[in-house]
Amino acid sequence: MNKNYLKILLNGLIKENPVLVLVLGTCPSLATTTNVTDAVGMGIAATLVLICSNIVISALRNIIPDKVRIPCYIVVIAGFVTVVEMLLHAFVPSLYDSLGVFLSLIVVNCIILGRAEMFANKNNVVASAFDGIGMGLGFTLALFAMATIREVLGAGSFCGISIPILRDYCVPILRDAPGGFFVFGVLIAIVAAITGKQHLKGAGCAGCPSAALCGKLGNCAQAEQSAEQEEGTANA
Amino acid sequence: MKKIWNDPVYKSVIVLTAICLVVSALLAVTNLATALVIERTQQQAVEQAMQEVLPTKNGFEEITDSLKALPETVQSVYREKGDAGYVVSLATRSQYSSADMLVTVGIGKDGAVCGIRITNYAESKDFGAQYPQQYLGATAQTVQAVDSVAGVTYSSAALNGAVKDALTAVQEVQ
Repeated sequence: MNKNYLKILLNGLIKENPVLVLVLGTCPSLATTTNVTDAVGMGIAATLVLICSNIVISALRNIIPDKVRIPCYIVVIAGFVTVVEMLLHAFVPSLYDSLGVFLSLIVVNCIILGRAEMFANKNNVVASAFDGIGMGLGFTLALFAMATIREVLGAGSFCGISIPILRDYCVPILRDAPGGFFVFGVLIAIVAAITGKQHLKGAGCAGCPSAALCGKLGNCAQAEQSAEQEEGTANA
Repeated sequence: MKKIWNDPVYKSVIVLTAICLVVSALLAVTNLATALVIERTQQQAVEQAMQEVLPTKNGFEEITDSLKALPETVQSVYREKGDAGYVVSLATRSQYSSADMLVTVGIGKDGAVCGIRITNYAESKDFGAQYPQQYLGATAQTVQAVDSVAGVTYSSAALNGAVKDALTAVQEVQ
């Protein structure tokens, strides 16, 4: 495999993990991680949509006019989400029932639209497919980690299977919203410690893991400078 | 033709329309492949729900007469062959999403709700498991008194309306 593609694939797992580093897709991350089965199901569904939408958007990047690119992306993404939804409803009804409205909400998942805008419309089809796989796996991995902590410590079970001893000493708040935010914060801190990103506080655009790919197209210094100037004017 | 393609406004309209058409075709094909399976799965869920809301070994017979006069949410009414009661299958749309909320209600000989199950619902996660049980024992006179759940008011109202329609339907066919 080409080294660049491997790098793109691995980027999504830790270095540019969509949930724990880019902090995208927070809503489904908190809502579907009360149990491991739902979290993995959500991760796989979002990964399929991410790969397909990245491929199509990358293939059409030279045809789609800039002014209508966002509506075009939304139509493509919504189409794939509906396809995945119909397939799950038909063949995995239990997962369809448990994911509920969050399945449809993949349409507005920032990770998918974000990768379409930041990566797929600037890179070739193969690289975009690898980005989709990497980001999707990163998303699934983050959800799996969050769900494992929340289900094992919050409900004393794993994938719905009760764990002896732990089930008698579980911390139910971990399954509720405050516990979700707590686990989310702890995981972000752990990933920051592993990847050595503590120094990035206040580093501005240069500290952003997607600096090279963002809408400023690498003009981070200028963007930062103008932001500082605006801030200075406001303070004056 | 080339002139039209080079005009940014026309190009935007053509590209967006073409993408919409292709996506619609993809959805139509997927729907063709999954619609029957989804219908069969839902039918199985309804049959299982019928056994749960009114357990019986005698089986059910569908009442086909006088259905036109019943509330429009009522899809079908079944009589338990041993005359132990009725099961009403309903579909309501009074909620946020466009998908149907499918409800199966079992009503005993005494005219009170003896079982209730939601077989298709894609909104608030925990609503379908606990809340419907509050309707157990409700009759046409007491059904209005069941409280709604805060934060799930549209779905609560839809379910309340469905149970009320089920009780009305049974009164009509008796």
